[in-house]
Amino acid sequence: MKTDIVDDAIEIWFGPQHVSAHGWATKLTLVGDYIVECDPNAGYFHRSAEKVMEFRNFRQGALIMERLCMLEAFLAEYPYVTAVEKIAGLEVPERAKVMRTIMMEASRIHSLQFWWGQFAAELGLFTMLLWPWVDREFFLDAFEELSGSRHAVSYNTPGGVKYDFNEGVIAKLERAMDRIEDRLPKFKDMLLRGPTFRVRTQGIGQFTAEQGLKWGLSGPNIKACGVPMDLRKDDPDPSLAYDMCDWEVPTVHNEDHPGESDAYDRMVQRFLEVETSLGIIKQLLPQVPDGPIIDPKHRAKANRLPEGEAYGRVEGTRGVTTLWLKTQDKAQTPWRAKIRGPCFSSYYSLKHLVPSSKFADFIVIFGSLDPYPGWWDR
Amino acid sequence: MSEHMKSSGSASTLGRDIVNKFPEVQANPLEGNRIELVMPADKIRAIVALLDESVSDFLPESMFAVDLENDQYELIYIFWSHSNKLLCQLRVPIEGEAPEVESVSDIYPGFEWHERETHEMFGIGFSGHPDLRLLLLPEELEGKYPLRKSFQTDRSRLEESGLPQPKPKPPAAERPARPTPSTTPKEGGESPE
Amino acid sequence: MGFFSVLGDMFRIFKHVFRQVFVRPFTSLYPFEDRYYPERTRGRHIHIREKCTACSQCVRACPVVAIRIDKEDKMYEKDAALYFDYSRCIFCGLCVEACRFDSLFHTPIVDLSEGERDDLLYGPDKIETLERDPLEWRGRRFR
Ligand code: SF4
Ligand code: SF4
Repeated sequence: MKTDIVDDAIEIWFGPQHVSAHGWATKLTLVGDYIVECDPNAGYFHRSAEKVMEFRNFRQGALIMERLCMLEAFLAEYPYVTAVEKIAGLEVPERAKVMRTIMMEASRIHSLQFWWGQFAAELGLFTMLLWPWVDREFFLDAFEELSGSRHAVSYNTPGGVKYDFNEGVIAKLERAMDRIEDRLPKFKDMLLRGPTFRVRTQGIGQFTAEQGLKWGLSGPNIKACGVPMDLRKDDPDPSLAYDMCDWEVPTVHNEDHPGESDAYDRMVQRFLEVETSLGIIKQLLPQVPDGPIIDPKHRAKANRLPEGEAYGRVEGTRGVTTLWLKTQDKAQTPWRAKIRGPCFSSYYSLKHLVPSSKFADFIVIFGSLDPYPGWWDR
Repeated sequence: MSEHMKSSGSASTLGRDIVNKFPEVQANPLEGNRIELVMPADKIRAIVALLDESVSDFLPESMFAVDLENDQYELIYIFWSHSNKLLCQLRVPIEGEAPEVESVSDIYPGFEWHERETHEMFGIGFSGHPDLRLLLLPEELEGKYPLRKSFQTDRSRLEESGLPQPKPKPPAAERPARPTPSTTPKEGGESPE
Repeated sequence: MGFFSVLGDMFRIFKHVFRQVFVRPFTSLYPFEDRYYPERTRGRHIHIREKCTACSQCVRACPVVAIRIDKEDKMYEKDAALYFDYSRCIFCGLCVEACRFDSLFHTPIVDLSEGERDDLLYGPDKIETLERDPLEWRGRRFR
């Protein structure tokens, strides 16, 4: 801090004890009510997942990925699984592909519901905290019926999936989707049309698509700027079934500031994401083909992998989630695994995004990027 | 911004453009619209600047180091362009006890934290980086470089399983099949509690 | 923004309040009544010792080394005693998947809370039966 410019600057640690700061701390330098410098600090959650992965075999590794972000567990474990499949040359059966896609989209909806509640609570509306979280329970029920666990599902495995759909799962999934469809207009009413929300989010934390890309932002944060960057469409994955249904990448085009997004646009974007995901699940559920969910011959192939490198990517709820995997010949464990959590970049971008905004808006900007500490601390 | 994009968006054109300018770069096409560029460490800044110029919407996706043992490391930079559906992977072999490359964090600010993480985990220096403090590690692990292969982790739990334990590998310096004896100090000796 | 629109807003609020008052509760009085557990629930394990072949695949599959095998302890021809440490287990299901002799299963029992940490180490006597009622604790029976 250049103290010769301002003498009355004060430094404030936001977190790690603050209620909204669950596992992170940011040093803010304030002049009056305005933030002049922001220094995000990471590492409060660091569990060295990459080093741990070097000592876990290829079945156990996906469990670590899933524990980094329990909200999108189906999505989080996918990059690891697909990287292993690429190195081992495993084919995924058709049925497993469709089931994976359905569950990944369900997990995306679940994660976004969590975000609505969290974001609304950060803005001070606690009704909106509880309502989406009640609906979230219905998805958790479906996950539990499917895999036997509410959060740590451990569903994808190299070569396919572990648990098959049955009547109960489909009924629960449909019930959860009916419920969210029923309540979506109400949530929109509360969040998007509520005057308090508009005043607190419009024009806050504004950045252009070019800036966002340079900082490494992806997913809904970039799509809210009007750039339809989505790996589901751009880089179609042969072991997922997004090409079996008809959908468009949702983007927000704000007339007032085209090519830029503020906290309000990102909020709108996340509602559009839910609608898209609902559409995908609706189209895929009747299309689930019959067949095996995993090729039993392939299961043993994941025990020892040949030498190779693979890059598994998936469009997570919060952006591009990737895992880079390197193995040595006849390896039982990876040589190196590098996780790219989408929130690593969004947390970093606070450094550029927050200065010159008001202190009271800091938590709005932070929350609007949908950060999850597990992704940057790993 | 995308008007002044020189390459037509395909990986091979981008690769050719770069190899024309920097003949020491080796371009390997990967499957799909992907390309890998292998380059010496001293060219990395110039090439990233050229990438930034030729494709305007590169997303700095990931950047990390790989420990290849015997003081050999590899730096890998991954870029993704949405408008061209193009993935570009830069591979920079480096070596030395405390190697140093030039930082690209002013061209792509998104790499600033990736470089900081690589520095604390592998001990690779980035000259010109604005801020190389610890990012994820606690203070007591500073200078221990936990992601290097020479860092010893605590394996005591495995002995409790009742399985016969494989003999621990001899420390890297004593292994016979070793071309050059390493001078790496045993800094990663202790394991974190 | 007149008087009537404010009144209308108030009525909307009251409508929601009354709806919430009469709706069925989502919670249950936990120790006395229980929620529904699906068949696939990954709760505590049961080890069927007759079928066990002491192949120790389950021990190898466990990512957190929560299982200890004791091959000396034989009740049948070629079985082994397993010790499960539930202070470590993450209920991932890999051990059940790894057992090819149908000898290890999850049960839908998830009430594992204990007063003492050492009680979470399930020895062969505890892991092979479901006889010990998990709902009995400090002399009180729940449900
Ligand atoms: S469920 Fe998972 S953690 Fe628990 S004993 Fe089995 S393999 Fe180990
Ligand atoms: S329980 Fe199953 S996997 Fe474990 S030792 Fe017995 S037979 Fe082998």
